[in-house]
Amino acid sequence: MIRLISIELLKLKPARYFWILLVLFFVILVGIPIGTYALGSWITNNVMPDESPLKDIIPFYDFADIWQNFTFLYQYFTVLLSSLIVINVAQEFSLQTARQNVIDGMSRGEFFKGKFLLILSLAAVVSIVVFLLCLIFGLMYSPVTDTHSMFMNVEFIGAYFLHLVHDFLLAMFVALLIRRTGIGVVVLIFYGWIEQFAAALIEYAAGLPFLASILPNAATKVLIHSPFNKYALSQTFTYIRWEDMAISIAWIIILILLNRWIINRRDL
Amino acid sequence: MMVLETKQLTKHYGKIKAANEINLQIPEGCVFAILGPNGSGKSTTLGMVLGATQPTSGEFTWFGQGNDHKIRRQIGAILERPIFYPSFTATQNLKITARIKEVDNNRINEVLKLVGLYERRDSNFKTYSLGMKQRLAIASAMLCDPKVLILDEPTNGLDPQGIAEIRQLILEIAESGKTIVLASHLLDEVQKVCSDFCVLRSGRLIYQGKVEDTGETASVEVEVKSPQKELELALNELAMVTELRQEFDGGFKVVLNEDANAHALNAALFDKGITVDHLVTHRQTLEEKFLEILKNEA
Ligand SMILES: Nc1ncnc2c1ncn2[C@@H]1O[C@H](COP(=O)(O)OP(=O)(O)O)[C@@H](O)[C@H]1O
Ligand SMILES: [Mg+2]
Repeated sequence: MIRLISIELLKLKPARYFWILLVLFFVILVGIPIGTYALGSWITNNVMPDESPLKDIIPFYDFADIWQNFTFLYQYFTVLLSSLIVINVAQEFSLQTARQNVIDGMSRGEFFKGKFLLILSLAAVVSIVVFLLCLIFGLMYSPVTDTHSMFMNVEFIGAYFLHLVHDFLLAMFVALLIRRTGIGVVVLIFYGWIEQFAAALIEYAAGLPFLASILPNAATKVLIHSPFNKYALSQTFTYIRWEDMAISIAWIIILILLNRWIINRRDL
Repeated sequence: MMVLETKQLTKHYGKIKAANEINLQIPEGCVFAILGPNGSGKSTTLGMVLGATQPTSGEFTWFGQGNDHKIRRQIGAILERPIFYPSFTATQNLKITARIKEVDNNRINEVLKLVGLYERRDSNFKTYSLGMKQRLAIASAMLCDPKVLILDEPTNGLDPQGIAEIRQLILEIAESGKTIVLASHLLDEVQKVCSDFCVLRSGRLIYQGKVEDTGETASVEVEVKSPQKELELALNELAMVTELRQEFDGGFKVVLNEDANAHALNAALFDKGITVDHLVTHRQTLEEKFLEILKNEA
């Protein structure tokens, strides 16, 4: 296992796309809470100087809420990391390095395991960073900092991890089908629409309305519901629903089996 | 011991039988050539025994042990063209191979020196010439100090100097006693180095044998020329001559029976009062053998 992950690291360390996408993503991770704070202060200072500070009106950084707020927003930037996975996997086939790896003595199973470990590690590292960011910004700006409310909704980090693993596996699947980095990334970016279109078609043709909500992209999007409706006094889920989680985990298992199956049976 | 043995190894691409029931035995310590025109199934066959292509049917065994992926770590192989990450340096690329093959990183500089790329080890692969790429591929194949080295068209697309360099490298490696398998459509490429060969045609294995055997065919062919007109008549009368053909330059191609040779022919002609000014024994080259095999099977 250590050998497989170290091989993946050797393939990433000198790769420019890896560092560009990773740094860009982490800049966004830190930039969003800072930007939101700056925007909030600017509005309170310039637009509504008589009101109480915006951060009091919208408790964006408040503990308990912060986990859902941050992970929900961060979800929209997962596509940067998914692109990284698409490039990484598609390249192995467009350059035929996967074939050379196998010739050199890797089994197809090991090749899959290496990529899967890469996906798990990247998702774990990003989740830990997001956990730390929530903690730091919460401690800085949240009015409540008692340990009970601090970690009350921390399970959203777990949901975020599941969301990452799911999206990365989907990215790997796209890469295995397309096998070209450029088109792969484009397909990934438009995947959400492709899926909605497919769902609409299926619904129209076969009359299966529930399908739209259980296709992979839709399933991962509802894992973390938008927390912001509640500030406009409408109803929302401020917890993770079991049925959403079950669908996500089911897709993760399906994608693992599908990706492994493709690698095992294909000529390289 | 057999380095590689295949049994009825077959690969179909739709209707194309790229490899058709190939039974191959490659003994240890030889330099083995797989010959065949383009598209005859050489790369397909090697792709199957190297795990890259899934056989339609049939089996193969490495070193009499089986075909587990771990066995491939003791094999050095290039299939069709050098494959590396283009924007990585030679060292960065070989580190990946070394980790896959579980070889110590010390070996990297050794093999780079072997192929003469040590000075360029920190240049990106994509900046290499085709000859350098091919040499890096050989370096990568040599990383694990392989029991057997497999090279598929190693001089494909190279200029004459590049071809000479690769050939020299192969000769040096062959001298160290390694088993080498060389697939090529160019006879010239393998003739000087190989000891055994097989011939593929349209996915079928149509011949397997030793190179030295091809020099000892039943008949001997001799070229004779003489200013005397009686030469043709004399040749016709000789019992040892089984076949006679006049060449454009006035000389004759003579096929002798197996007991005769150029020396005996010369003596017989001299007895008939004919002196020759040109007498050459023509050994059948691998090339002629190859063409003959292809012709017979057609
Ligand atoms: N991936 C593939 N799909 C379809 N046909 C293929 C594929 N690879 C090889 N072939 C066909 O199989 C035959 C043998 O090819 P190959 O093994 O590359 O020949 P060689 O290496 O002797 O030149 C050719 O007719 C080729 O077109
Ligand atoms: Mg070939």
